[in-house]
This record gives sequence, structure tokens and C-alpha cells, in this order.
Amino acid sequence: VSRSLQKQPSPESFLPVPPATFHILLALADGDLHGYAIMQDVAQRSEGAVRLGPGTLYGALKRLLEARLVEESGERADREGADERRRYYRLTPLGLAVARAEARRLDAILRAARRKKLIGERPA
Amino acid sequence: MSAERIYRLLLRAYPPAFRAEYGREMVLVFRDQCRDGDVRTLGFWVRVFWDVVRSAPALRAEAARTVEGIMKLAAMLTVLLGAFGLLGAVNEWGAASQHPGTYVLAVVLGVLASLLLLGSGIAILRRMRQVARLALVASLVCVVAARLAFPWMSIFLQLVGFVLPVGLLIALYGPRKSSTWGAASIVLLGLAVPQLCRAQALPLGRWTGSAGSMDQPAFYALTFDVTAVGDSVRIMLHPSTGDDYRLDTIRLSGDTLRFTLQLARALLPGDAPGGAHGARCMLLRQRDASYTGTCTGANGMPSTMRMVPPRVDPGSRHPKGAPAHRGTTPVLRRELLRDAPHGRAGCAPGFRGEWYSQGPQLARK
Repeated sequence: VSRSLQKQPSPESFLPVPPATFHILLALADGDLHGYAIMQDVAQRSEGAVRLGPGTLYGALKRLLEARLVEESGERADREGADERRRYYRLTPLGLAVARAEARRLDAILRAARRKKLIGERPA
Repeated sequence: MSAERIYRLLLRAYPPAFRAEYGREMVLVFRDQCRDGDVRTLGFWVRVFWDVVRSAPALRAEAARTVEGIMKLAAMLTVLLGAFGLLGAVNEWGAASQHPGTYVLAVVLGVLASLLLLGSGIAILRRMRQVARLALVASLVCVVAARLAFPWMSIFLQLVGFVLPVGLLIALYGPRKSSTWGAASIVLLGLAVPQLCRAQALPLGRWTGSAGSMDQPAFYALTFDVTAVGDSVRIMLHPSTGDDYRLDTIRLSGDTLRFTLQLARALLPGDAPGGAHGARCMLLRQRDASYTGTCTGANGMPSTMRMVPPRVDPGSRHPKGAPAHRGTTPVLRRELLRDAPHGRAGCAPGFRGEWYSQGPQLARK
């Protein structure tokens, strides 16, 4: 049976996504990135609150690759003249669907928290 | 020592497979971190160590749960069971009172199967999958041959001998989704199972034996005709004198043979059967392949019984003394008994002196 014919799991079956993993999915939503670029993106977006180390990052990437939420998009140098070639990663359609489902889930929680006036109104 | 060298040492905390896959990338990321951060600060190294401490144990635990981890555990178990099998064979040999030909053959095959099982476990641990497969198939063949030569193998040995190699073979072929060899091994198993089931039956032919009281266990000589009737087995008990008995509700479970004795002749209205009629027997297989145990009569009296299987001639599928026909039927035995002199039958004490008390009635009919 070819892989394409295998039944794909539903995005909801992956929820809730661990915070570090969701940050990686968010980072890859913009396009292909290599490991260090993912770390920098996460650190910038979270304003330094989430700092992924290499072990945490590649452990999460390994699980995402196994779950087919992420795939390798090849190996290339990250800038002109760089000696070391790096592996780049990108979201699969399933990974994108999982990221959207997790975002909706978090959004629902946020709306509930607003209704309870635990946090302020959505900023304009 | 350079920072990168320290980090390479720290990477040893991760599972080897993970290191092989992502180690180079992790070192590249660490280099980037060293370039963008201050490697001489304590905070930098605290973050590095914390990352390793937090992620490495989880990845190790994940690796232990993978098929390879399970295979490693199974291989260790296989090595232990192989060694256990060898020890068991030595003990079995030492404890046996007799060493008939089939027994010797079965022990030799068992030792060979244990050695092959042990070898396959080591081969799996050393990642020599093809060698492991061949050793497992050879071990399975040896166990099947031993089982056919000597049908009194314990349930535990059968589980270890058949289920473990088959399970390991399936696991070894698993990663190859459409493996011809995997399919072939399943077919081989399918062919072997009916043979094993057949081997579980009692050997057909003329058995000998004895019965007696608890004080004198071998007081009476007995013969048994074990014949196949369709898929089941029929056993007739012929005492040296007196009525024949039919072994009813025969159950062979592992080393235990259970049955109930029923008079072979038809009971007439008002006929009090007495004797061993209705006695429930439970015999255990002995090391010399005979069955020995006790029978409890309908009146609660205990007695002993021994059944000795026929010897099998080498090269012959039929045991010595096996009847040319498919067994004596109760009707035929009655005919024979009618013609036989039964003068002594009524006087012969059976189990606790009651066994054959109905003999003359049959002879008079």
C-alpha cells in the first residue's frame, strides 16, 4: 500500500500541541527554515520568553518528522559562501492543518478567558 | 578544552541513533549560539546543560520504546532462554531413568535448538539480522523435529521453542513490508502447526501397563489398544483376565492424561457393573515416556495405574505391536471374550479386589 493511500490522521488527534512544538510550527508557517533560524524566530517572537536549545529543538523536530507534520526540504548553505550545508525543514499540509487547529483551540480558550474578564479585550 | 569539544561530549547523553541523525546539525546550531552569545558566561552553560538534561532522558526513553529497543530486550531474553534450555537438557538427561532412542534424539535436537536460539539472540544484539533469521528458522526446525520424535514436550518448552522464534522472525521481517521470506515463514508455520497437533496425540498401537493397589502398584498386567477414530483417539483396556474397559472422556493436557473407565460391554438392565467401572484416572507423563498415576473408583477407592507406550522402530511410522487393523471394537472384543476361557476372571481381584467381578457374566452371555 503506498503511503499516499494510507489513512491520514485528523489534525485534531494531535491536539493539544506542546508549546515548544507549536512555536516550531509557527516558525515554519512562514517558509523553510534551518534549525538555528527556527530557534531565532521563536526567541524573537516570544521576546526571549521561549528559548529552545539544540536538544529540545531537534527532539521536537524528530517527533514532528515522525508524525509527518514537518518534512525536510533539502540541505543547503544558509548564506552565500558558507561552508556548512544545513538541513531545512518545512510544514506539510497536515502540519499546517495541525497548526491551524491548535491556533483555533488556543483562540477559543482566549475568548473564554476574555468573557470571564481574566484578560483584556483584543487589541485593535 | 574548546566549547565545541565540551558540547560534543555532552551529546553522548543522547541515544546513538538520534546523535547519528541530528548530531552534526546540533553542533552547527551550537556553533551559531557560541558566535551570537558569550560562551564565557555561566548563564550560557547553564542553558546548554539544562537543555541537555531536559531533552536527553526523554529521547532515551523514546528510543527504548522503539522496535529496536524491544528487539534488544527480546534478544537478551532469547539468550537467557537458550542458556536455560541447555541447562534444562542437562538436568533432564541426568534425571531420566531410561534413555530410549527417541528420547536421545529429542534431547540432542533440544540442545541444538537451544544453541541456535542462543546464537540468534547474540546475532540480533550484534545487528546480524540475516544470521539471526537463519538461526531462528533452524531452531524452529529442530524443535519441530524434537516434538515429532518425542511428543511429550512440556507446554513451557513448546511456547519457548515455537512461539519465541516465530515472534522474532515476524519482528525481524516486519520492517520489510512485502518480504517474500516473511510470507514463506508464515506458510512454513501454517504447514508445521497441523503436524504439531498430530504429534500431540498419544502414540497409536499396543500399550502395556499395570495396575494394582496403593501397596502393590504393579499387581496386574494390562494392555491397551490405542487406535485412531477419525480425529479422535480410542483406547481399550484389556486386563490379563476379566472384562475389557473403554477409556472415556480422554483428555491429554500437557503431561497429564485424564480419562474415565467404562465397561466395554453393554450393561443389561439390573446389571451392577462394580469393578473399575466409572473410575476416574489421572496419569502423569514420566521421564521414560510412560504414564503413571492413580484412579479413584466410583466407591472412592484409590488404585494405581501405569501405561507404557509402544516402542517405535527406527524408520517405521508404526509402533511395535500395533494392530494391523484400526483397533478392536467393543463388539469384536466381546466376540473374542465369549470364546475365551473366563473361568479365572471372576476370581481375579481387580483394583482393590473388585475390578473383574463382572467377568463371568459376560462369558455366560
